[in-house]
Amino acid sequence: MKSEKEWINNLRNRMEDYSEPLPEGLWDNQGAGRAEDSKGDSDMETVAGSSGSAGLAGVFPDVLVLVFSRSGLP
Amino acid sequence: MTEEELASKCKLADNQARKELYELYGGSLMAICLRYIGDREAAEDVLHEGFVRIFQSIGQFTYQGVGSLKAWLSRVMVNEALGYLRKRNQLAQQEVLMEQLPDTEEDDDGVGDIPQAELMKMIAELPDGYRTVFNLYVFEDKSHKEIAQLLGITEHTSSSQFYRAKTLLAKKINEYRKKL
Repeated sequence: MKSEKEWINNLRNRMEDYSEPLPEGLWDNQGAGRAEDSKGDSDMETVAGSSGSAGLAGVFPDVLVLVFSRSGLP
Repeated sequence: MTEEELASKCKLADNQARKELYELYGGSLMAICLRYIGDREAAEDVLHEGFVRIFQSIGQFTYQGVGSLKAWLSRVMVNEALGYLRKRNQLAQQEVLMEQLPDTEEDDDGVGDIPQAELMKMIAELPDGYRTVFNLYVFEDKSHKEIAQLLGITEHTSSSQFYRAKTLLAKKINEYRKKL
């Protein structure tokens, strides 16, 4: 029987480089283009489609374009 | 671009650098979210919020050698996931009845033969409270004392939750092997 520490190290090493596919549309360059065209001081905008993320543009006005489209999800 | 250069450009709000950072590290950060949250849609929400947090606070990052950026990003994302679970009270421990726990000894073959995606699925399927303790103990290398402080539980509870999570995971691994 392997020791608990060995088992844990084994699992940790196994998963160390694991990646999941990124959600479609989370980062949207098209949005960057739109943002550059937009008026005002902000040169970028944040667009959040998820329920918990609405209003991020106000919180984070000058930074990134992060489009989180839920349109394709059930 | 080195990770130090990447971090420096992100600090200067360089959008291309931010996109590169997202593309380089997003997949592994998504894996962290899914491992803690269990549900893919919710994990995607946490990933989004986590990246906002990352770009808000990248100024606090100090380069400390190769790998330090990934380690910092991972810590931010773990904190985001824990915050999400805390808000939804999913850090509360769910009890699995003793009779539901497997009575088999865990296999001593390790997990080298189990595909990573299968292991991820098995971990994601663990009950919420068990999964949180398991993640912190195994992947963040936290002690039961640290986990207890972090989650507001006793060390004994942390230890017990970890044991149960490990036992459930071993059962899932054994069942997977039997299907092969």
